[in-house]
Amino acid sequence: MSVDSFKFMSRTLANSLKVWPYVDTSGEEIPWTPLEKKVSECRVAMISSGGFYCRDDKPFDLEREKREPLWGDPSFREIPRGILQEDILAAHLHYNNDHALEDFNCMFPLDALEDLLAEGAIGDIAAYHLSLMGYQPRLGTFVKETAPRMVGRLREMDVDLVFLSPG
Amino acid sequence: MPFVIEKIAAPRAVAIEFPFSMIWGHPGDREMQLRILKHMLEAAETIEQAGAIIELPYTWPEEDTKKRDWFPAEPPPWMTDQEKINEMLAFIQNGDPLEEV
Repeated sequence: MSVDSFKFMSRTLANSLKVWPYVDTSGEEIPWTPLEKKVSECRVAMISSGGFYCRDDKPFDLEREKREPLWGDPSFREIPRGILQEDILAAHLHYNNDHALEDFNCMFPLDALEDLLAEGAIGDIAAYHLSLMGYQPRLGTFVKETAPRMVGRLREMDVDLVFLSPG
Repeated sequence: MPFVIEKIAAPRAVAIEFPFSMIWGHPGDREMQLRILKHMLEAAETIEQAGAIIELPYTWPEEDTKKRDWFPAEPPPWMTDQEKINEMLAFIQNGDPLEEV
């Protein structure tokens, strides 16, 4: 690997992630779902773990995380297609939100996705994109409740292809 | 972060060495966002083996790396004092990542 996973981290965070108790997948096959359409025919949605939410929606609960630092809000938010910069906010305590508040596309490139559609590179774009807040040390609630709800929402929208973007 | 991608066994991934708060490039750089999206589309179309990671050749400018402006102004809650760091270290050593809280 030539991409350095730890280049932009504090030493404390890098050392933690190197020994993190990741969910053990070593005995399992890597999941695989073949893409059944050409990408130019796919309806695409994006998911960002950058903690994005609409201005008129409820923010991710950062106050509880401040009280209980091993807790991260396990919920998700829907972001309508065509959202404007003034209508989207970010709630995430683990990166500088200022760049996204200037241009959310540097974390969640929904406008460039529209360019892909205009070029005919993809077939359609879902009516809603999804966002979560990626700091989730204890994943139980997210894995058992939130992720299945997100998948259900994507299926309701007949999404063929999802791009996940880290936050 | 290929290190984490391998740990969690993601089926398809594209990796880039850009900082957290600007993982798709600098604010306003729609051309870079579009370029990365096209790499992801290509990955979706061409990766045939589960676990494949495609690394992109872009680098973050050295002068911007010196700014270290991707860090939040305040450290995240678990790093604010030694007691909280110790709680995290205890979780890392003995915690259950699938615990429901």
